[in-house]
Amino acid sequence: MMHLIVGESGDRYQSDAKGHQPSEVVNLGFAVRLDRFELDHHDPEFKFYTYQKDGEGFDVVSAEEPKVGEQVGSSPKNAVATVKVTKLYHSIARSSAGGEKHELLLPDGRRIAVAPGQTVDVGGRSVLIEKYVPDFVIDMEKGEVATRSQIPNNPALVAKVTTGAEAGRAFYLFGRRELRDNGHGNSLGIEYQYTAGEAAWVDNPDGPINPAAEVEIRHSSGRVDTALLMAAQPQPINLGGDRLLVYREKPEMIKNYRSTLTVVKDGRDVMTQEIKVNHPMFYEGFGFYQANFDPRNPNYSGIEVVKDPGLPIVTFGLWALIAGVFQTVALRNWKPWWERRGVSATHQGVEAAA
Amino acid sequence: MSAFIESLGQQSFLFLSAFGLFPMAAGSYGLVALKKGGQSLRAVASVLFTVAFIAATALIAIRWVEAGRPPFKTLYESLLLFSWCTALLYVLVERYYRIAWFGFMTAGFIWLVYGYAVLKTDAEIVNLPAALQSIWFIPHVMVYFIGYAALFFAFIAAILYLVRPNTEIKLRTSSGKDASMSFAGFMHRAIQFGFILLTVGLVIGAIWAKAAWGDYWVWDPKENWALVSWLVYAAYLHLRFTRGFSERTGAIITIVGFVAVVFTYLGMNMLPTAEQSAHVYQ
Repeated sequence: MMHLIVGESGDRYQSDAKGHQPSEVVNLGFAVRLDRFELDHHDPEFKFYTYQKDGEGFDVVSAEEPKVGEQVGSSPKNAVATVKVTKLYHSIARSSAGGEKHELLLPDGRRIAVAPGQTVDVGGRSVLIEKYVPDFVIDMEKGEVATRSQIPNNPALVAKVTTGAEAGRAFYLFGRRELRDNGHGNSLGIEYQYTAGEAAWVDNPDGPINPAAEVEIRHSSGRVDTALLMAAQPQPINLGGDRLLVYREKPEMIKNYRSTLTVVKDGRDVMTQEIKVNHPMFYEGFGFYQANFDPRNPNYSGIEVVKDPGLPIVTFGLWALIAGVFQTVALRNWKPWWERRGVSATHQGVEAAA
Repeated sequence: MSAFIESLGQQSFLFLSAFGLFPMAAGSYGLVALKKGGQSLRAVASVLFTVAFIAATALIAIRWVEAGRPPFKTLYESLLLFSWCTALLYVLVERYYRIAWFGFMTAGFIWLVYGYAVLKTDAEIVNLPAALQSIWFIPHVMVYFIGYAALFFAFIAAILYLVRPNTEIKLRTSSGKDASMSFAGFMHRAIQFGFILLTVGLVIGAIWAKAAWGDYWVWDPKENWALVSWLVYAAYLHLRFTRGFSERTGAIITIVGFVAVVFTYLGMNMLPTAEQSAHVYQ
């Protein structure tokens, strides 16, 4: 193995230990310089994946390319929600205007729009809406509510009762249904409905690929929510029946990796060749094989070096093996023309019986 | 079950067609084999098998286009390919040998393979890793799977020979002359064909491994087991020339050989080294 960094050369390598042959440092007698190293990627793909819970893990049931106006997700029999794509973004970006809507559904049936800083009367109690976080998380170090990002993955309101016996009691209200019914704040019977603002997000057709899908989630109860799903930050939607719907990128797998190598002998550049997996370079009985890359260091290339002066002989031997097997197995009774006349068949005993 | 069918998406119609038609063909061939049906039922069986084969072909072709690469990567894809190769060989075999038991066993076997495949469907089409992007990928896999299919025919002929050693198979020859052979004779021909393909597959694998990693042979479990199955058939071919060899022994070796082939193909997942192998279908 030879470890090279772009611009650097190497003139020796550590051979692999094989059988009784220990690993050793082998001098090439020339140098190899890494001029360039490149990774080829597959085109990114973004899809809606339906997962089915299967024992400990999840199986992918379907992978769908989203289309505006069409339903996505493979609904189970007893679905609790269906999802329709209403808008697609190529490169989503945050616009300066906010525009989100926060609505509270109060126990007495009132639906009111609120903003952080506002106080609401809930069944005789005063409740202060302290702040809004688009992507709720609890900062464990500080012990307070924070936001993971500016994307409304998990919009939440932090609220506090300010009057009566419960004064000072703080609670959270979650805008996403899956996370709502977990008991937080629900003793007051308030339901928080979050609507992503029209103006909050813009699509930049020339921007770097960063897709998102705006969806309409129709719950079996009849309620309809909208959600903005960013492929870069996958968020599951519960479809019911142990199924989840996730909008995400297909896992990245490097397509190939290529090194441009130059052989330097006696101070002169002798040859330059690009190698990649399945396409090695040979020079003076040494083979140079693209073996590794380092995802953290784009300039590193791992090159397997194999000393193999017998390559043509072995290759010939392999083809000879095929020819020999073919002759023995398939052409057993075949004879060249000079042997055909007057020679009786030998070695045919069992063959003829079969 | 519905979830698995569902994960096939638009291909579920083709899959269900093949999955439904192969057992129907098997049933028809079975009735013919049991002398419960005549030439017309045999013709029906052939048509059912052919239509199922066309559906199986379309299934692979669509997957190929959808994936943008040969659909030989995952276990599901490989099961479809293996059953397709078996069906293809059967269509060829039926041109020369009209043996209803072959039809019954082949269609039934393919149905079982499909039944296994339905449990292993993969909705997410994975990309090919760099090592598999080679001109050797298609020939290496195709040669092996056609070889496996040929050895499947040797296997069923071996079973039929053990059950009915005296049955003579009639051949349809182009010259119109009557010819016949025993099940062991058919088995031998299938091994001749399959063994050559195993050899070619092994050599292509070695050449490819050399181009990809710099080594012809890396003692990967799949390689070792491919060698084991190759050696079993090589033993059969050699033992035929020893004194005291009987066709019955040959049939038993052939059955052992096919067990080795199936283990080579599917048994690798069970080995503790499966994770490091380039050959394990998942």
